[in-house]
Amino acid sequence: MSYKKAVLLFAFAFILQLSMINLINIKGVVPDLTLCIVIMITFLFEDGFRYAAIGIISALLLDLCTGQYVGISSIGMIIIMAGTVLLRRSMNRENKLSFVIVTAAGTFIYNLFCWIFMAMLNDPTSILYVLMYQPFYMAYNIAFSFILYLFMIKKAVRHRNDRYFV
Amino acid sequence: MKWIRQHKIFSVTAGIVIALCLFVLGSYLAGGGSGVLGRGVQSVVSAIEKPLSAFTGGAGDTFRGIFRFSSVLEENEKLKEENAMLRQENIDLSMKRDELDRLGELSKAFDFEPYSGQGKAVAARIISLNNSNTYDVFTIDAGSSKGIEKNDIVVDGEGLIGKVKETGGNWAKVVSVLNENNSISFKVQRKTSITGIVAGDGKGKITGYLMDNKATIVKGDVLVTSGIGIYPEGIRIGKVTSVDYNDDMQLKEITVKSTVKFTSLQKVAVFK
Repeated sequence: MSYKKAVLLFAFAFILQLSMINLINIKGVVPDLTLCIVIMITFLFEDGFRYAAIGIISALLLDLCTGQYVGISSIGMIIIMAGTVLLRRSMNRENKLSFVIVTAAGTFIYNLFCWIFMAMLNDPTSILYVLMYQPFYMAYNIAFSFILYLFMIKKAVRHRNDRYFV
Repeated sequence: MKWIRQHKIFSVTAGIVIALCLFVLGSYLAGGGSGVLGRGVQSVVSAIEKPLSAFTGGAGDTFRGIFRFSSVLEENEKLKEENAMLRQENIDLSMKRDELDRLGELSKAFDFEPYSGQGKAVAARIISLNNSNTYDVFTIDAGSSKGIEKNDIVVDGEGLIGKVKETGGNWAKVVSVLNENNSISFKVQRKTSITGIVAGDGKGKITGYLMDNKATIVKGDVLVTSGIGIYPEGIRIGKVTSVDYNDDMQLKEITVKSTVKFTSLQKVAVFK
């Protein structure tokens, strides 16, 4: 992974998120491409959080374009990055199931964080409503991340602390 | 300083989080607007989004057409029947037009000037939605260059969509009727003396209350804008789906389903 590739990936996701993603909208639920890429890069790549940091800028731009308040998504991305960095130390990164678990947990925590922050800013959306849609968000994000995973895993370097690293 | 140098990553992250918190606070205090920076970014992004959105709309229609071919045929038959009925209705209405013209002249004599939609309408395409699934805020591809201003009214053929919250050169941010901060004064189409206030509930529905607790409103009643506030009179808002009496608030509360199908919304009209 290089900064150039990361910038291109996030730029592509940014444009897609704002326009063409609506093509696969089911009941208003769409995958969060920026979040999926942040989780994937942080989890799969050595020092991935350095490249995933571009996702913070991408999330900020998304908030500027469509969000009600600017910056909430970016803080959410930082929390998810920190969580993924902690998780990757204790999980086998070559196992697809690990990746699925991290993506599902990341999606849930991110949406929960956004709800908490929005609730602090007097947003009346109930937690039950947010939770009701979580399975759909998780499923969609897992599906998208999995496609990315299959594509990106070929590019991922073997990790020094993997058991079979030589 | 030494501690910061030793914990470089943590310090940078903490600095970014503090800066972002200030961003959130600033945007909250500005009433949810994205400011000058946001307008600049949005102008650049909407120039890129516009062709992609057009492509998405076209591709979406094509896919839907393929998978819903039988239902499209059925719909076509229904539309043909409806068309025949409307033609007949049109003939009847033409006959009544002369009578209406005469009444119009009479109303002028009484100096009665109802809202006639004198403002211009601008057609626009939705180019981006926010990430929420409530469709409460979205961006359209027409802005101040086409004369759109803050608080202009956004509608489609089905009814009221919302109002313009913020504009840039070639874009405008729209707050829909599903947004909880968008209160609308309404009256019941069946009996216009029944009035009240509705707003989004943040869950994709519209809720509100009646001004008069004793007024009789029933499930299925159609609500239209009353003309009080920024919304002109007579625009359909939605249909009442439930009526409850709130003992604590001593208010007759209603839940309303918007007449607009937000999930398939692509084009809108903005009235200035």
